[in-house]
Amino acid sequence: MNDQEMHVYVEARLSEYIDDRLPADEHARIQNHLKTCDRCTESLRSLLWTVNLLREAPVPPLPRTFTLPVPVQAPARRAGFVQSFGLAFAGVAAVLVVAVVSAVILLGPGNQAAQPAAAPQIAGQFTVPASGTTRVAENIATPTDFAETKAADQTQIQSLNQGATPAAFPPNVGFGAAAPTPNPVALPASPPSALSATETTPSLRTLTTLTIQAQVVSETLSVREGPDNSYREIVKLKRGEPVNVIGRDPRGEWLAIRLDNPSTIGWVEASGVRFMASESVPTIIVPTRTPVSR
Amino acid sequence: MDERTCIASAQKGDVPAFNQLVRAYQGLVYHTAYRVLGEPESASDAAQDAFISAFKHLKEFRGGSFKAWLLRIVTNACYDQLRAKQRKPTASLDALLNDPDKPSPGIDQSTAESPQDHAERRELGALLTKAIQSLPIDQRIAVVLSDIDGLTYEEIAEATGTNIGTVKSRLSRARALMREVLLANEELLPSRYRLKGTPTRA
Repeated sequence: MNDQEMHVYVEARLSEYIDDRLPADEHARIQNHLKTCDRCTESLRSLLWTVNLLREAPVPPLPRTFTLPVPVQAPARRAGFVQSFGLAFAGVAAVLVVAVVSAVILLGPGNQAAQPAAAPQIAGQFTVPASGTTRVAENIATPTDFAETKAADQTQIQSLNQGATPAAFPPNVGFGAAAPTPNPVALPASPPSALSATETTPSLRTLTTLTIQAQVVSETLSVREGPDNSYREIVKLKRGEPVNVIGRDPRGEWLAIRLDNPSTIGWVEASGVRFMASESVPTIIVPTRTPVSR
Repeated sequence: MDERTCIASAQKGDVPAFNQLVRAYQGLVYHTAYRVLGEPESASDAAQDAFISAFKHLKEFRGGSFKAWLLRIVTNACYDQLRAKQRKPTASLDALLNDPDKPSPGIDQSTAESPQDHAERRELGALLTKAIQSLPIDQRIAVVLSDIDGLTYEEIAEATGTNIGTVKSRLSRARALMREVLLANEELLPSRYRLKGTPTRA
């Protein structure tokens, strides 16, 4: 092999050489060549530098926790109920999370106090070199690139189908959606790609299969669109009226209840109701709206 | 609970057990999504989607590297985000404001780094994010899984649904391209990160 061919040979294998993933004979050959070749040594050095920089990339702070809300532990009255509980469980868990995701998306990131940050520019001009041998233009794969991934996952999804009938999820479910009805971004008819969270959109009825009975104890009780007095009132309940509780906010000060007329979810102050039996109530996280001014 | 037990419990629908897995892996998951997608909003969506999906499909995990299995889901969630972004390409101001690569008032006190080092590492992060974004998506994922997440070739092959030969060639091209981009922008790097004494560079 002449010099030029050797350079090409080495260059093509440097990445594997760094990872020590070359067959022994190739590894030895390159190791030997590096002893006498400045150019390839320099190439190795700069490639190592690149890899080491990547390894130094700082871990960004988590913007939030991604844990799933824990659903209610309904009592097992009979075996059949427990079985259907198990089946509905995944649906409810998925829906609760989808609802949370919807709420997060509906309210948007504006709930965080906006920091007056400097314009996030990298000082100086960032250049992407137009290289003759490597393509830079293709940033996003065309749909055909995804086909390979999708095909394999399609069969997985089909075998996995839990049977929660997809139905339209009512847009105004009332999870603090004080903003005008936005596009339910979390629930579009996405292409049947792998493992997307938007596959099952159970109906409101499925969401509220698991409810806990409670009774209004205060003279009157406002039912609001969100877990805070700043939300609009939907309806007022009177003492003694029954309510179907399906969740609570993280602080436990507000409870989510199912309303029939209109068919939606509302929030009441926990202090205004009394539970008929002691059961654990699922936590539904609704991002709180904090004032923007600081 | 150790990981195997956690997974076994979670496969039966135990959400608290699953949440233990979430807490163990969410840093990795978010970091991966952030480096692949280049901004925090989509990364957050991708991470959330990935964990929901993981819980739903947990029964399909039959052992082996849970990390690779989970990152397979994360990879797909990133593809989903990119498809969605193609439909609405404008970056939101909030995303820019909440960018983890940008210096924020609250410095993480838990690291042993000096504020100076911390700030410089942030600058490095910003440049890396931009450089990675200039790669084609498959190469982007290969280099993030390898050099940011520390996966082996086998795990990357599993996470991307390809074979080792493909992984090797994507990674090789990705690193070569990253090198070019970083060298072309070396003056933007804090000095301690620069490649010193390169004689032949223009």
